Amino acid sequence: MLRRMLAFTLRRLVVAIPTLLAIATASFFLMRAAPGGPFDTEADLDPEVLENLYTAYGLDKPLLEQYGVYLANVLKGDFGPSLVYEDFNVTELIAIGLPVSARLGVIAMLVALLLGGTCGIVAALRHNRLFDHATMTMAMTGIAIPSFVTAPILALFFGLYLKLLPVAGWNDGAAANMVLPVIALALPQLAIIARLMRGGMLEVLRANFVRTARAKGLPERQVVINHVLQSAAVPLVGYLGPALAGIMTGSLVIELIFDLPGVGRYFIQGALNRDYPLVMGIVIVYGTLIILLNLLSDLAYAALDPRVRRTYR
Amino acid sequence: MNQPMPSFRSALIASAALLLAGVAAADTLRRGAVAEPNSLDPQIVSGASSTIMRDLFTGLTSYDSAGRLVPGAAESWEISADGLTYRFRLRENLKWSDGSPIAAKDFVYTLRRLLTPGNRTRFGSFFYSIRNARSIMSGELDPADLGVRAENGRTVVIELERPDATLLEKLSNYAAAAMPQAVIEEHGRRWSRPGRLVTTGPYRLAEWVPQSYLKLEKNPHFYAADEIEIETVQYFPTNNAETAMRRFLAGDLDFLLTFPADRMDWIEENLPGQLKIWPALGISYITFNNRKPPFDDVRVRRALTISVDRQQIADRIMVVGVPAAHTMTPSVVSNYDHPVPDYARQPMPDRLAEARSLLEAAGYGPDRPLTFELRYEPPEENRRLAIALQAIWREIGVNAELLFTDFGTLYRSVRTGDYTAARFTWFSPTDSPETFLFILESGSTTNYSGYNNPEFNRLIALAEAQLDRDARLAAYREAEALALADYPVMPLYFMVHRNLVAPDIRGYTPNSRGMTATRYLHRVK
Repeated sequence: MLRRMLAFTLRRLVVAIPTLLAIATASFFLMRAAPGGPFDTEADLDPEVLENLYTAYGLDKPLLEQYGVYLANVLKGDFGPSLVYEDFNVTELIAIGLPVSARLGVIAMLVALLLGGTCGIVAALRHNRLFDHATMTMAMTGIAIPSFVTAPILALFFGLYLKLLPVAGWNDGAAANMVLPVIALALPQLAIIARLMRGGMLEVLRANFVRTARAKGLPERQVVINHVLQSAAVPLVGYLGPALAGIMTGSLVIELIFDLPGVGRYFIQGALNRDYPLVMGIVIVYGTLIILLNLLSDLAYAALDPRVRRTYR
Repeated sequence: MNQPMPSFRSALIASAALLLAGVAAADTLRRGAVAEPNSLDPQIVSGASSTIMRDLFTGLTSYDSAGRLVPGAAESWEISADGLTYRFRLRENLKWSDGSPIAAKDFVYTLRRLLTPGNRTRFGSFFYSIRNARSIMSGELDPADLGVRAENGRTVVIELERPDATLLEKLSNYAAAAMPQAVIEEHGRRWSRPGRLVTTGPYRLAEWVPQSYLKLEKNPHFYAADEIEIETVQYFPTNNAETAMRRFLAGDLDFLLTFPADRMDWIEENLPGQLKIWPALGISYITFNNRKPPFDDVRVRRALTISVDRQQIADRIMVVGVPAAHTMTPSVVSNYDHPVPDYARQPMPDRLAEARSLLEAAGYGPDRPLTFELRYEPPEENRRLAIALQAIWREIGVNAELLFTDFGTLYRSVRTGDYTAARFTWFSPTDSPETFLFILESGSTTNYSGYNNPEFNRLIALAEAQLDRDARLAAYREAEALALADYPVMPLYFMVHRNLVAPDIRGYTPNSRGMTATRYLHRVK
């Protein structure tokens, strides 16, 4: 079994290489197809100055040549210089931004899993009772209200009205500065997780093997813990991989509203200013994370469900 | 979850107490609503970061707390009678932030570096009046041929190709401040990092975390270090004006360089005295593409221009106290008599009637309405403006289709002439009509309209060659009046600076240049 899983993992990793290449190629040419260039936001540059800038960054070469040079450098682990943050390399910027986004994302996901998972389980066990309806209404609200609404409200209430927490800023990662961004990031995830967990539970609670377990005379607590939870978590696991990749690479809205130095802000500034290397670098890192986390979630699937395991080869 | 757990609540209170304890020491200042610098190299950084850069670098000349030109690294200067030779005498004991001496040759290095192609420098064209500057920038001549030399250790001589009335103002720019050749050559692109960046201004760089903050500390070797009260200044870049505003209201920031326009009423009511708003050397205007229909027809340009009541736009749409504009040169430019066109004084009904008949004469009417695309870019206040213009022009039967794009797309399209009409902003680095009128000069970088009038060009060249200030401004006036009669662009309103400043901060007089140098600021107890 272990060997089969190992082979499966290896095969997926090998397939990841052409996938990443395709992502890099598509985003390279899509970025270049966008109107405007990297220094266009500096409206008053002289033609000579602009020409010098393009030469300095190799942007005057034919597009295919630039593409080749770029790929060769990426293979060497060099994403090149940023065109917006000109004193930094893209690798340096990702090394500054990604830990911030990842830290917030992982904490938010843990909070969402803990609270959302619990809510989902309890709601399923109290199916169609008051707690169930209440949590599901709240979950729908949580999914429906976008974070650009919740985040400023949180900042206004806890920061300006109660004066309990800083309204924004990273402050080198102080705990107080992380509370509101984590809540704002966790809320929609919490809602989705609660719904997924409840759905999974409800389906499994009606399954034959659960009825068998109950018929054996097992106490309900043991039925839930030993039999239901494991199977009920399967849909959630499928969701967690991509969701974690998404939340770790930074929520643009949250980073803007709370002035956080995360990678999401680099991404949008890069895109708006046509910082080709920066956007490409983040896209490749994001793609890699998605592939890895998807793989992890597939492996977790297999660990949870023997039927799934058999289909992997 | 309505009741937080007691331990959670006490943790919150403890962290809040910690936070508040760290704020508002008397000799520190926290400034916000600035752009993240694209670089801290004074010749590569874009104009958006000038407040930070002027804290770090001081040129031969400088500005006082009210934006008046004063000596900087140079204690005095002489200008030759023909206006072509400037001789600067450096201060005695002038030092870098690491304590080593600054010499005249460092200024020679700076200006040569600024004009050397391939250095990614941005402000070279400011100094095209210096002998051979343009030919060096285009690669025809060697940087050593630049008309700048060190006569001795303390004397810098600059020779010009033509008189340049704004040279002294331009030399205050950080791009022309002394730069440390040895450090730059040792570290290359990374010389601007903390620990390496050697500065010449009132402050030096202590920390820089991109997208988070820059921390500057007083430069003990600055020539006026004794007069500086703020020991540490932190800049917090933000991409979100609302966030900066919240941080200001929470007491986390002391000084905002701008704030969201739609909060104006609230601020006036709730934070009187903290709002500083005054006219800037900047204009918001519509550029018409004069090269192609429909705006190759002066009647169409005139019709659109006279049909908009600028005072209404300024007061009702822009709300942040902007002055209405009928000329390109802002009313705040010193000593200049503005050639305000006649239509500005006519009643609106007459102007609308004339606009309709002009459009009719140009061949437009109810069965063939004039339709064109108006481009505009962020922020949100521009959307309000565009919608207002659309509504106003609908009154005279014109259909303006609005196209919202990002900065890059807009600039690229106007630069290449691939547009019909676009809203644009221009800020001048100098207190002079010169760069506002460049916008209308043939071949100028900022001439997006494609307006081409040889007589206008001749008058501008005449003005530039004038040594006498009044004669020069009179020539500019004549040129501007001539161009405005052709309606190549449509002035809308003049820009303002709008700062929010904590009530205990003192030390600067609002000025048209927007100079708010930290070295002059202080807190009252």
